[in-house]
Amino acid sequence: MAVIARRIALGRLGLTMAITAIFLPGCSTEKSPVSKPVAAVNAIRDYGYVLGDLIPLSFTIQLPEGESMDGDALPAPGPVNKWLTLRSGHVEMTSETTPHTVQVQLIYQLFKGVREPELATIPPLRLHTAGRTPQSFETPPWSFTVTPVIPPEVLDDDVEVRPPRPTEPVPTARASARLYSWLAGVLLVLALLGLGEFTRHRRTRPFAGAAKTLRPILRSRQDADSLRQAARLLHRAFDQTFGETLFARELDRFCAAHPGFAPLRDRLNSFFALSGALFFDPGTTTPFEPDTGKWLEDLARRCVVAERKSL
Amino acid sequence: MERLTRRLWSRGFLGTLLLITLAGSALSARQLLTLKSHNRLLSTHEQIVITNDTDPQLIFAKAYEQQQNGDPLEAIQLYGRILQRGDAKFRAQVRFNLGTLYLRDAARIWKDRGLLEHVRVNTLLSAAKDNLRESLVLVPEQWDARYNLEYALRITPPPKEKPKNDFQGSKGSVFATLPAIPGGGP
Repeated sequence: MAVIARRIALGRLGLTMAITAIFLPGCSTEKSPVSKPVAAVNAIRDYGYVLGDLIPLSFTIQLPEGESMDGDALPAPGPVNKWLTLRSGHVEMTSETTPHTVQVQLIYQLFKGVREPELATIPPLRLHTAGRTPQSFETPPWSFTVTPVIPPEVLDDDVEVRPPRPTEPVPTARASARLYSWLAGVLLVLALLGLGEFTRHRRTRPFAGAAKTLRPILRSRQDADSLRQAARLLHRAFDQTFGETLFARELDRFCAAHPGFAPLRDRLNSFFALSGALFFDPGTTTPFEPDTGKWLEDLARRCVVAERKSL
Repeated sequence: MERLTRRLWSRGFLGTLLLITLAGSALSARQLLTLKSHNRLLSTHEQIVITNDTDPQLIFAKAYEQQQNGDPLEAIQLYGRILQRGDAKFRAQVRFNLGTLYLRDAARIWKDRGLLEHVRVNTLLSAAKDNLRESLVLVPEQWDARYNLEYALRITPPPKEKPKNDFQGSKGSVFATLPAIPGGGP
């Protein structure tokens, strides 16, 4: 009994080992290296091609260990036969994990004219590997269907040659757009220049700035302090316009240099007299006449006008 | 930063910018005017004068006019001048028109005279196929070129068969083949 049981157990062990021996190599993820390059063809489709079509074709090539392939292995672009031209080709590595596999990408162009659907075959391509033991090998031939462009039932005598193409007018939209862009640029720069000049003028018009500042001061209060503040602002504007400190005795020179102010000569005299009283008369504690503020405001306005005329 | 802003706003900088934009505008205006006058000439072919400096587009227009008006030789000569000029699209167009010109001629002779003009038809078709094929190499998406090339291939006559030389014997002289003289002549 024991002998029978041992035999059965041995038999089971043998069977298990045999099954393992058969199926285990198939379970391995890494392909065993091959002794000769093996090429497999990949194509998008093998039907419905017509004259003039580009046929992209790729080959997955398994290389023997220690062998490699690069672009030099491929034939130069050019006619393969009477109806087929190789347009381009390159070799690329598939991935780092499978170093012995490369992809050869080819683009053919078909020039086969047929009267009815026909089977055509791209002939094998002779390639060679580079490495310790360079080997030559051929890609498998690849067959596909070529269909006619002209319907088969149309007789040769009834075919109308497609007419030559006339010249198309050169599109001007792009050139127009370019011109408009440049013109927009010109306008923008002109606007910037104008704005620059405007701000520069604003900056060189001291009376405009002074008038703007003193108006709220005089409107809020009419006491000696606010009048002094307003007079100081006007003095500063006079000094800025004159280029140096302007005193009453130099009013003639000022009016000669800025003729726009000449009509205001009397008022300017009065202003300097008022200013003297405001700043230098210690007895000036009594309030000024109620319209002094208005008078100063009016003088500032007139100076602004004179200033604008002088520019 | 303030200095940079002041510099950007300065008259000198803005003035330079203005000069550049004005120059750009002038150049663009000139280009646009050239294109417009070019297009005007394209619509009035007869005014095109061909010189060494003539634009390839204008030569093409003139060649097309000659092709349509029945002067194929002049058209071929003009197309020949611009085969290598312009971009791929333009060259494909030139090749297509030239191939079509040869094909039309070949088809006409083929229909009228058939195999009697075998050599002439073949020569014309060969030129047509070369040009149409080149046109498709340059721009493969042209269906008219595919159509015409397929037609050219369809009407290409089969190559002439060489007469079979199946004579087996040996003939020493011309008289040896003369009938009624047994064993040949003297």
